[in-house]
Amino acid sequence: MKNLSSLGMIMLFTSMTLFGLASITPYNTSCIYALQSFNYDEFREKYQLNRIIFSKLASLLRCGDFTSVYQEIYQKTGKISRLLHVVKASIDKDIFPEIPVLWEINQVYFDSYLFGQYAAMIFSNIKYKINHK
Amino acid sequence: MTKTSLILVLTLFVSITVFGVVFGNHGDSGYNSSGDGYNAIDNPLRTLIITGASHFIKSYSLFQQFLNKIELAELYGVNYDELRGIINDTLANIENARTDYYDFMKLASVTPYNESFIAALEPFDYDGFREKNHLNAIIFSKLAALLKNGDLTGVYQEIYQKTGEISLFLHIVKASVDKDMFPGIPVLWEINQVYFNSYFFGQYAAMVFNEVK
Repeated sequence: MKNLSSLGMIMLFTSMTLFGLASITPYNTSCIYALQSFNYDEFREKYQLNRIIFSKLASLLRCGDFTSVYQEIYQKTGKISRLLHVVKASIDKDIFPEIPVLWEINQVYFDSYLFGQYAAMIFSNIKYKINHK
Repeated sequence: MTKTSLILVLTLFVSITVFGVVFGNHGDSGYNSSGDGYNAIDNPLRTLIITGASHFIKSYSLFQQFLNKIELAELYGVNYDELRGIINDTLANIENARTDYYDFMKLASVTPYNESFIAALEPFDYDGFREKNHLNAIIFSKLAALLKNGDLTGVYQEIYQKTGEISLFLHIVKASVDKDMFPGIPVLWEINQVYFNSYFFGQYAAMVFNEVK
């Protein structure tokens, strides 16, 4: 169970490093333009993506706010890490963890995961379009 | 001695009431099945729910391992033997889950509903519960539509159908990996989406049943 919290720390550290690096790297303007003109609604419909999670991502990308996507993931890793520490505190005392906390962790994990997956799907689509122009 | 007995009883009480509440659990409360004790061994429907959930979660966990290897392939290369091993285990677990849910439905079809549990599902404040727990509205509304009509078996039928869908997709991935071919990323995204939707459908069911119970 020690691995549980160290994994959370690695996650947090990796996201922090990525976020820090992005903040000092200039945007690729053709990519930003492609993001602003991307048809998000059509993409969501085509791949039957989760509307709630996708709309949060789309609202950031429509403004060309690329770094905020990773900031969002970074913030979620912090929340997951805090919740994992709650579970760790129980396990360390040989106490069965609270099931609602596990449900909540699962929910945050999945929301963040799909947020990241949808971002990868859009970026991959845009990259393909730019490369095949 | 009395203090020790009390601690033992409390420990036993805690351990028998907290287990099995992650995925689709407590649905057995909606059936008048034999053995209403806390132990799953007394109740074949409960046993099937727990083993089905265990296989489903294990399968999803293995699929994440697979995705992790795919994610790292760009940095460290691909080991197809390793991918084959993981995808075969993923498939075996989803097939086991499918068998458990099939057996559950078969048994449920000859087991009468627990009318008081079913009656409690209809007036349940689904919107209030969803709001309170910040649940995903799209997934929850599908579950609520079934439960409002008292269609308890329909919940497990839905999970059963999704395991079939996942299995079909996993076979596509297996076919690629068996030929030492890198699997199509869009298929992996789609599998993840189906897993996600099914997982939360099952988790939300467990949450509602736990509340109603």
